[in-house]
Amino acid sequence: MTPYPPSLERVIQSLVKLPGIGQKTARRLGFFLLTAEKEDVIEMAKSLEDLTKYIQFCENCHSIAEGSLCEICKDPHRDQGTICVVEEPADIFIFERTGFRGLYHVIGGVLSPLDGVGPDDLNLQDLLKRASTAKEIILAINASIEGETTTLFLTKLLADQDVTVTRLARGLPVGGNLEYVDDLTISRSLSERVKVNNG
Amino acid sequence: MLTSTDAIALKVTPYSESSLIVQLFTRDLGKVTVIAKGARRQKNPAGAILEPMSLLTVDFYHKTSRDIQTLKDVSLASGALKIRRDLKKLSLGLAITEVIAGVIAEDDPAPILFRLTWKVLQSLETTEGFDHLLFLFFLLQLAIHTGFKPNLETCSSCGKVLKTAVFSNNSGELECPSCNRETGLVLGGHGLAMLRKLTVTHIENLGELTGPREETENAVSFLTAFLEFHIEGLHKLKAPEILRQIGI
Repeated sequence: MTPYPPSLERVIQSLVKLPGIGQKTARRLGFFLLTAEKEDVIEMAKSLEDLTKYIQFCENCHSIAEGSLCEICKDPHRDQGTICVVEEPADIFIFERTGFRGLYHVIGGVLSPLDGVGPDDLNLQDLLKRASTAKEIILAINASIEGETTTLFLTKLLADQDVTVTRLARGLPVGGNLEYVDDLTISRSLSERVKVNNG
Repeated sequence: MLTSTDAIALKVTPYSESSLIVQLFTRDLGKVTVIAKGARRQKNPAGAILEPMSLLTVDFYHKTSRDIQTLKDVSLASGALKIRRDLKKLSLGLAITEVIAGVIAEDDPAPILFRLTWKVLQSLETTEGFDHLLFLFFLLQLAIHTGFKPNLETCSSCGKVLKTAVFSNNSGELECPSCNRETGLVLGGHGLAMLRKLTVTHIENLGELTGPREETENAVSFLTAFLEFHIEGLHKLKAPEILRQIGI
């Protein structure tokens, strides 16, 4: 038997479903909402409702969009020949911060034999179609084991297409200290070292 | 109690903002689940090496009353650079981790299976040209060491010498085509001969075995079905289907 009124209890149970929020934090947030400005709470509820109403997946790149195409796909000033392939829509915003001006394609996950995620579960057919008109495909997938598997699979899949396929470099982080870098990254940095003079 | 042992990482799951839950196959304690606190922080090198298939040396605080142990330290015992650059090796390695995770039990040491898995993953990294054969070797040795060695010599129904074998979906045994008219998995003469040779071949000498690749792949499907039938933890393996979809 919960000691809270049903409407507050419903809010707490909804908040608990969010990542990183436990019962205690959900209770604290629930009580905060009770004391917050009524307009702010209604605005928050409305924005959450709008999120479910208007956000959908872009038909072209599978990122999030309001409408059939996302803002990036709609922008004619972007480099239409370069497509950066990412796992999730959230990854796009990481690359946007760098000033990258190409297009994106969200595959929606990575191949994971352990979890039963295969090529049919990812947005790969659309990528193949888009690759036929692209100049370069950048595989910007995480460097985890599953990510590497996906990168290698995509390389194989795109081998027959007339397009340059690249992937993100693996190595030391900028400003990083060698002391904090793991053995695998050091080995990889060594084997993929780059020439810095013309000798 | 602080325990130090070699371990193979089987499954890694992010936990909270910065930690990882890692399922390990340890040399001394069998399957152990540990929490690696802070492993996902940028300055923590553990995150990069705590990946499925990694061959590790781990130190963790072990308490039998706890389901999840606390990882203190981890280092890479053997690198896996070549595996990470080869789709076939990566996929087969992941399939090996799925299979072994289904066989071993929590806090139940299985030193022979540990040695087998460690050696096969190491060979996958260091050898070239017979990755499927290594996977087949792993499956066969796994069957043998878990007490389910398939009878590759005679039909389990009529006792005649097998020239071609059909996998029986009813008994889980090998039968001759006269006794079994199911349209299931059929292993030809080459495949049978290969499996027979493989039972007496040392891992170091696998390169000497030759055979058509299709027969090796067929034998892999055959043994996978055999293991799925006999070992409870291996019902409905996901990796073989994904390997097929990837084209491995």
